[in-house]
Amino acid sequence: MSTLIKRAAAVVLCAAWAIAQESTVDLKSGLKLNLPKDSPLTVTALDLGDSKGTVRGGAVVLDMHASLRLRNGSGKRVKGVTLLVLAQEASPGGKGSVAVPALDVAPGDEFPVRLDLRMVRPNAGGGPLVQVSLDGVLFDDLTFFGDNRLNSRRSLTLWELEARRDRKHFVQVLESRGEEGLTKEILAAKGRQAERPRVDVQVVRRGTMPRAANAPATNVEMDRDMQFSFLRMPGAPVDLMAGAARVAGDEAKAPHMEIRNRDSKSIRHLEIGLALKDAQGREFLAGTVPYTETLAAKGTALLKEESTLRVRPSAGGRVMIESMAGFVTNVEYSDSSYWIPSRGDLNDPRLGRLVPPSPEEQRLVQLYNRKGLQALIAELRR
Amino acid sequence: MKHPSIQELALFAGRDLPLWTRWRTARHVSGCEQCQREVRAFSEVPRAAMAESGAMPPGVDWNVLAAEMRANIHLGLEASEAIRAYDSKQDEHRYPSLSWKAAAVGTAFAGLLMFGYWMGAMKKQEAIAVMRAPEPVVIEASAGGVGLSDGRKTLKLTAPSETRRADLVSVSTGGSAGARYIDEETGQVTVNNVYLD
Repeated sequence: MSTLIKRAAAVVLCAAWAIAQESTVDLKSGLKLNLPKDSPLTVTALDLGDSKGTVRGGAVVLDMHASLRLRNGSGKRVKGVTLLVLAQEASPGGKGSVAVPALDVAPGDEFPVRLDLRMVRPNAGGGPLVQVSLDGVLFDDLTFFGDNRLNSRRSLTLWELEARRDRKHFVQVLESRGEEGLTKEILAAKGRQAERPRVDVQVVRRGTMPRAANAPATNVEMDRDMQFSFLRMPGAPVDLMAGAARVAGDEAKAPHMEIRNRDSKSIRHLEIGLALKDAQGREFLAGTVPYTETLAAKGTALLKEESTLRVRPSAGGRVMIESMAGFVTNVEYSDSSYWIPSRGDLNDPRLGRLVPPSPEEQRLVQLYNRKGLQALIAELRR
Repeated sequence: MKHPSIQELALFAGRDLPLWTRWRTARHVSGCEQCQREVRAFSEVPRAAMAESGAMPPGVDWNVLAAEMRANIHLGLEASEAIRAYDSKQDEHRYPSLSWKAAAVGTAFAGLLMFGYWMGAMKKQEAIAVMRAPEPVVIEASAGGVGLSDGRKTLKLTAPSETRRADLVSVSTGGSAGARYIDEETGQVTVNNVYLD
């Protein structure tokens, strides 16, 4: 190689080194794990993988791809866990969580939890960048341990109730219709999961939604009032009486609806699923609207939100909202009991398409895909 | 009957037609008196020309003149050949050749400069983003993950890998967003959520 080439290569390498220079952040001290002393779970391993933290100008950028191994130190089987993720000064007034539902971890056994996050924040310096703590653990007897700052108790319990409902359903199908019937049922579940439209959704609780990149440049889409239709589940304890939202293009604003408790127990929390249909006739679940105040037995209430919701297909393009429908997805009573749709309620084809599958149904379909029918049967008989 | 053209008859008379056309024209001429007359007339033209050459000015020999003209034509042809050869050599050496190594280094350096410019622009953009006044917090659930952003600070819980997409996303107008992933190997379900305070 000539001297000229060697020198040129040296210049190139020096330039590359100079460009690559960014001060890095010590990730081991940047991540803090906080588990209470009496925690039923203990951390047995932490792998930061290819995580990296860098300081760029006035900003800190953290890309974390970590894996934790947790050990069940309790005497009960763990059915679900939620970890609270706090990124000091990073989140604009918010926090994150990583939950693992549909578990069945025996005492003494270990299981992994993946932690993948990205954050950008001003470089204020000092203190751990990310703090991970235990928000809650649900056991097989539906008892709960944890701070419950994120209402993990409710979400973990709902997932566990859905898991029991779906396992029971598949076991009944196996017993009544045999292996062929179970195959048909699991393939139908697989089909429903595959056919769900993929949409990206944004929410602003207050204020104006920032303009979308694909919004029309010249047309101002005027708001129009749109009434909800309601999808009734025979077993639902709450009726939706009337409701509307302001709709403009791909945005639904300030949804409000009148609800009535049909039950003789008061309700602490309920959620309404919001389904949107676009001009092409595609219908999808855009989000849920929670009601977080007490709804008296046989009482009525007005559920009102100021938020704006925007949907767009994951594959690109734009949705023009043509109609809206609502349905009850879950209810938590004041006595801490719950209502979820039954498999019978979900037999309605439209509701079957809109209501999300339970994590357990997704896990069982994945097991069938990977290991086949006999593995699924063994799992159901476990 | 179709007669050969007058040009064909002239060339036939001078024995300048190609073989097949000559045979065809000969067959026609042998049976056509009119064409025979034309051919005879054309055949007499060289003899008339020879007679004319005898009337050239005194001291001018047509044969010498023709030889000189041929020599001049040859000279012209050779000169133009020489000029063409010189021009093509000039074209070859007009631009200096670049070795492949130098070209590779040059390309890499240009690429590096562009990459450096892009990196600098990205850093500046991020620095500007964190200095800006906050916008309304947008909560987003997409195939790539869930996040909160006010245009200044961002918190995003991402997919376990860049190739993985969320199997299910959801938002709540209460101020949260969730994305569900299934590990293809273990079947373990992970649900990432962000919440606005």
